[in-house]
Amino acid sequence: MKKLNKLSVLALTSLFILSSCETTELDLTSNPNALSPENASVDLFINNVQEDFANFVNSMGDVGARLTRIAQMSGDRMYQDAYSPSSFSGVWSSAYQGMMEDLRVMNGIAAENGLTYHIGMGQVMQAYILMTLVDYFGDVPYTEALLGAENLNPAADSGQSVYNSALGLLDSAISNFSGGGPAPQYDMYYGGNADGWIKAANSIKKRAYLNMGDFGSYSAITNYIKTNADDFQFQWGTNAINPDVRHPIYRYNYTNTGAGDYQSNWMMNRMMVGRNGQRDPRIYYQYYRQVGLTPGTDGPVDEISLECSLPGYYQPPHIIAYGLYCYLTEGYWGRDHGNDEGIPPDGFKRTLMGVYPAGGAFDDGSFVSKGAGDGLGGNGITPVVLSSWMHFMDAEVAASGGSGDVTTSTLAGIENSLNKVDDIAGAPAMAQADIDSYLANFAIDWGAASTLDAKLEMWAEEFWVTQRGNGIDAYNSYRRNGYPKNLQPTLEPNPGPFPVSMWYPANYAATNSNVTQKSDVTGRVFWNTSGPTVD
Amino acid sequence: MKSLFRLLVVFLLSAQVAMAQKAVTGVVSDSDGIPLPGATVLVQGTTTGVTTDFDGNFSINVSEGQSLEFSFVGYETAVVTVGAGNVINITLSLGTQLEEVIVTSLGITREKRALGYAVSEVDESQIEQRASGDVARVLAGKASGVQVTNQGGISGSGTSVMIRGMSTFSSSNQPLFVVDGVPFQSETNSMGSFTSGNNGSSRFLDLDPNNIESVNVLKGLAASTLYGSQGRNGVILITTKSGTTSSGAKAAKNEITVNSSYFVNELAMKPDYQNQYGNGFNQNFGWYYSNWGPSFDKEGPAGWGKQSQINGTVSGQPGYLKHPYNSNLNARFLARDLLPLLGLSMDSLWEWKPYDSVGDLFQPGDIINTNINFRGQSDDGKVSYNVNYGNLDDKGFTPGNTLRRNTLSIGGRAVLSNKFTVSGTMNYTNTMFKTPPIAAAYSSGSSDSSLYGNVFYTPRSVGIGQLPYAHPITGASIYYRSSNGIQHPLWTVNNTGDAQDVQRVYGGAAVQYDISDNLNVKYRYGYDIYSEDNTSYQNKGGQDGSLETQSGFYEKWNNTSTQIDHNFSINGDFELDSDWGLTFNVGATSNASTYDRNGVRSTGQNVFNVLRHYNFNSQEEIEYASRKNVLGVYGQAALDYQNYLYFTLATRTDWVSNLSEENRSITYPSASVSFVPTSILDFGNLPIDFLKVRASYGTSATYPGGYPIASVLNLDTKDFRVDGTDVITNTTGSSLGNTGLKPELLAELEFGVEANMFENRLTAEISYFNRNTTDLIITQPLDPSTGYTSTSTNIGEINATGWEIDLGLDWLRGENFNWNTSVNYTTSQAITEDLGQDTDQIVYAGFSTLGNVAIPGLPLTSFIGSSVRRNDAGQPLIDASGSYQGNYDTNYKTNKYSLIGDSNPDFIANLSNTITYGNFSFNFLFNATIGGDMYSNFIMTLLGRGQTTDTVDRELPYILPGVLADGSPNVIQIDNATTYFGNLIVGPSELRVWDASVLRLSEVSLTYDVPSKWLDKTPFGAASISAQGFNLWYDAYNTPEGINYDPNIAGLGVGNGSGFEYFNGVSARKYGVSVKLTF
Repeated sequence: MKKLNKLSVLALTSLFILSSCETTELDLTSNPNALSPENASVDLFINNVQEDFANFVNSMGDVGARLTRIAQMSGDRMYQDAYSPSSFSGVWSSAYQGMMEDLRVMNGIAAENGLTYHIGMGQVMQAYILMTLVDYFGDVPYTEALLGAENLNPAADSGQSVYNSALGLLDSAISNFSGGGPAPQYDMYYGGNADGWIKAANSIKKRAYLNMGDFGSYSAITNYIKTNADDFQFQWGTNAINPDVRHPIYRYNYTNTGAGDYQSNWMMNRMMVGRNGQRDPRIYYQYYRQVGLTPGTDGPVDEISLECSLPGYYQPPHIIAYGLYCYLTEGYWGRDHGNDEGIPPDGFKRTLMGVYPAGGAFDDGSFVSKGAGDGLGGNGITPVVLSSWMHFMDAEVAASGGSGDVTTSTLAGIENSLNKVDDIAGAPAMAQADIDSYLANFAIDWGAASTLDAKLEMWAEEFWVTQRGNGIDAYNSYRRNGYPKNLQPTLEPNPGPFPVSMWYPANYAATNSNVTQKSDVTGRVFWNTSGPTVD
Repeated sequence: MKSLFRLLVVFLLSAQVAMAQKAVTGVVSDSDGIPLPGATVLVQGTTTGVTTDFDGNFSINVSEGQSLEFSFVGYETAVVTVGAGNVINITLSLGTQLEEVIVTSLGITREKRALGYAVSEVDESQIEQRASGDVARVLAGKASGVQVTNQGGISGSGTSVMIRGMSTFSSSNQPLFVVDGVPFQSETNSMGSFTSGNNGSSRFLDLDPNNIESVNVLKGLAASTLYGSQGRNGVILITTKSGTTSSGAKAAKNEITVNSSYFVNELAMKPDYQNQYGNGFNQNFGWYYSNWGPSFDKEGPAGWGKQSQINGTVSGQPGYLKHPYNSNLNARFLARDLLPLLGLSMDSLWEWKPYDSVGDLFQPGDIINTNINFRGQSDDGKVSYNVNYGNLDDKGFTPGNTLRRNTLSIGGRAVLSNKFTVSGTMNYTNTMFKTPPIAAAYSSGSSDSSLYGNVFYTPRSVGIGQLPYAHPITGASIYYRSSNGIQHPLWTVNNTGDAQDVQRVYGGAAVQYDISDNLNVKYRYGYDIYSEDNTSYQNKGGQDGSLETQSGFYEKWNNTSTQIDHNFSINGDFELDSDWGLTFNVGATSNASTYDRNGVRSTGQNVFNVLRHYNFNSQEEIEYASRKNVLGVYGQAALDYQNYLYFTLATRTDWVSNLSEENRSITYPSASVSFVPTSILDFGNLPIDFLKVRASYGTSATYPGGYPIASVLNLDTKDFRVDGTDVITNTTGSSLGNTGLKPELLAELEFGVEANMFENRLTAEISYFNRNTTDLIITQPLDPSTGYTSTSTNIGEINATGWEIDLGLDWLRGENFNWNTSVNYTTSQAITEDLGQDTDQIVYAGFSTLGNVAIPGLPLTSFIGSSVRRNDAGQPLIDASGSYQGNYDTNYKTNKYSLIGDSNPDFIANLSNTITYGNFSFNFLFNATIGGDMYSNFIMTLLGRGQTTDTVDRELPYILPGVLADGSPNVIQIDNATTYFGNLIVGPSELRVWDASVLRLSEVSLTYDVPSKWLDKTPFGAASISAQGFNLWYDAYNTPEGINYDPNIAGLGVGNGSGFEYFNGVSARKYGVSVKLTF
């Protein structure tokens, strides 16, 4: 008995300790390190989507800009490797898992609370996202998307049907903006102005009709972005740390070791040449030169910074034949299309992005090296749809047999662009005489261009100057009509075919059993099946 | 807890009982008359005992009429009754069977012959007096099946341990550490990820190897069944000296042992830098990263005489450059008027010659290691104690790297008269680790400050020590490169640091009640609590990393981790009849772990070098918490039949708290059998002394970590800022919560043979295992168009197989001369069998386009990356510039060349030799790790930047093997810089993979035991002095000769990633002297 007593005391004590110290609790499944989905807020969702949308536009625009020589392409000498499948994983994830899933959840809560303005904003952005995905990748998931565990392998819808769905979203958005719902705490695009959103929705519809060649529907829409005041754009800020709200291009341009990117020689040359002998006055706004001379031209040879300035340096014949190779004069220090060479320590010498659109420095000819915090500190814009672009598109419709006047619209586009650059707060104003004379000189060259082909070459060049900071519309336009035709070739003489669509994102192709990665990047998207050959 | 203290005090102070005893002395020897050192002499029926010294001598206090039991491994035990005499010399005859007793799971001791699975033992002598304070590194090479990978040569850096390779990629593959019966937290809390920090000790660093009595390694699932899911990756059972107080046989009456060591700690092998060419590119000078510049000779096509910068044209003095700080003056970097503050002027020059920057920076450090051990017991052996104090002061060869550790360990045991036995251990450790950051680095800087990344490719013509590192006004880093694009390594040393300061207590108390001689109940409480204070900082003005890093940061956070373990068991041992015996253990256990991280990260430093949160512009929380409970019930029954056949059946059921109710419980049984034919069969004249064959089947489960079934919503209070106000955002969680998630199942079959031959001169143990993991928990990447980027799910299967062979051979067993060789050999491979239908490949470590990958049919240790583009015939394609074309498709299904390596070695073999001659003992341990690939940024950069002797032959053109776009053989000549820089550094990842085979002389020691007769007149009972060296030589013979590369690197940190090294491929060499004294 005594034994048994001791035994039971021991056993009971152990059991008591065992059960007392919260060591037996087995329901510890909820995560204390994050909120649960029921804590969601409509305003906080739309905040996130607005910022992610600007980043999405910037990222996709960057690809378009680099392929079309608006910015410099450095990824690889071969076209098909310049952008790999994995380089699109981020935007793909941001589009679907980030923005569209947020919007899906948000719409449920917003609808219950009559927040039609929020829903409308989401629909405009979602339509733009979907169209851009189609423009770059072709067929993408839509009707089977965002079903979570119900469908882990969403099948793609045809690009055409996704475009149609997006057009439907825009129509719905327009009616939602008329629904009288309160604007969110932060409307980072139109500051609570529903009319602005309606114009943006209509402009995005026009872009789509233009891509599809539906000029009738294009021209039928009249309430769209025509003045700079209505521009659909995102305003960045200057805070650099926690959070970093500077313009994404500014972030890698203005660093403590100088510029982190090269500018496109083709684009800088285009603006230097200007019209009828007048340099494009926007060049001082779009580019900032840290030095006034370029080695090997107007400056002494400096092989440390610019190797090709050495006499006798090997120059590829095909690019010499084109006439623009390696360097420009006056400190416009950039790189050629497809140059993927190593980086010499020229960060404080090469040309930076200027005050427009990245919020950098205005080129006042002082030639002082710049770094983080300089200029406008990143307080720039990411354009989504600008009035100037709409005028250029009007011109294209007119030139393609639709209604309107090519010349008027082209000049309106240039004028809006000049004024937009001129109006940047924090940079010196452009002389009105420069604006006027540039328009006049353009008109002289335009008049001298005897063929429509020559005019469209000029039209496209001017359109692309205004595309700085985006590039999605330039990439679409280039595939649509093939202008400008006289672009700088890549440094590689045999770069392979120009990508007329992109690889499927790696995280799409590798994880979705309903999709197989493309074998090349020569397949055209639905609206571009009979597009011109481009390189 | 209080009662434990009281208990300890009681038996530490307990008076010792005096009896009428006399001292008996003698010699224990074998049948050849050779003395047996270390033989046990035990007073029968007590736990009083001594061991014989080196000459076989013993002396023991015993009463007349009592019996002495003499035993020695491999020999028959002899019993002698003490008569009137005071001297007993005894000869032991060779045993026909081994009676070796082994500690198995939950501290259950069993005869080794009865075990149906493999257990490796490592004893004290192989662990103590080592230069490394890290028990896992000390274990390296000493047990088969165990793979130990360092995180580099930093003292106190993390260590990865894997037993039998990987079985999963969703959870940790690191083994369970059990110290004196109590689970011991052994994780590595890294400071940042491998890209941003890569520092952080593995918490088994809190154990002092000198306080370890023995280590048993349980490798298979049958061996670890009773530990449940926690034991699935194998178990390292550590018995400390404080925890061995129960083995009265080994404890002398009262004994003080002092171990004291001094070692030099130096960079094992510096790369062989070439001294022919300096900074520049294409034989032209420039203040670049690269070392493809002009020759240090004046003449010749690459001579500096042709360079206007060096030949005097610019500087005015031939052979001299203008000083980099006055040739690179820049408003954002360094203004002209500041030069005098640096002791420079516009006329300052820089001599064009090779400098030894790396040699100047890495100076040998030293290691001072002291350990004092007190142990003793009462005369009746019923009360025993052990107190151990250890101090380690380790200064690494990397400036700013130190490791200091104090350990105090107390243990005791008392057999009470009322059939209770109480025992307990208490350990306190303070570990302080400090190092400059060694983040992942690339060929041009690093993603965050990395000392190694910025120093090893310093151009030959740049001297680190000769260039001031700080801006005279702002304190910012300044350096030679135009545009200041490199962080000065000395700035890093003086302005950055990572530190961990750990306070830890652990131990346990056990109460056992003997119901009868055959049956007892036991309750054990185990606790392990550590508080790890982390500090990571960098002053403003750095050049590496993000603007945020450059603005200066100061992070301070504490990780408090607690593990409380209860274990209640009933244990029985019965002779059923003359043939059958039965032992059983039935028990219940609970294990509760909580982890709490709290701290603040501040960024934007105001006043330079003031490291307090108030001096920074903005603060962010550092916060993480997790809590997990595991309950288990278990049972084990072992049957033996006539001492030759043994069966063991065991089972355990676990309940784990982070899964849904229907999936939280799982039962895993195991069974094993051991058969000893030598006990029943006559092997005639065959030289077989002992033979055992064994087989086992074990199962276990892997529970996921964290909170895998919860869906979350993310909140960011500082996502954006509008008009000076922070904008708060919500976003949906990217992981799809799966409430149906179940544990992974593991099942393992193991077979083994153990044999002793030729009078036990040759011992052999061979094991084979085949382990299947099913219901694999996969963080399955989802197409984001589902609305999620991943989900945790149970699909897939991994199969792992391997062999472990241990051989021992006594070449010579003489009176004065002994020579023993032992070899262990390990080979294992895990193959991904299945990932479900929807998934082609899962990258589970590293970067998504360059990392370890699971692909069905391929080894789990494979890795993918960008590859050289090939034509249909598989020939590499060359582009018009003469370099390889890259293929950046890293999906194996569409580009099979994206499989660029497999880190798993073909085999690991260790050869150990012990030669004793008289009082001298010579020992060495040699390791061969053969096969396995390594992606190396270290090699890539040193070659690509033209640093080492491998690149000295550089003035003739190269033609890369391959074909041009039209299929014709490549004929394009390229220069050295394009060949190395243009392909190794900017080319596809495939080119940066090398075979990581390595041969290594891990340990060498020469020990002299001072003869006991010399010590007669001293207070010392024993004394020895030993000269030792560790990692004295290695050769990764398939890597470029001049790199002197050490591939034993876990470059991705302690985790499942392997085969990647991001610029930390160097190791330490340590040598010194150690003295051991016993009073």
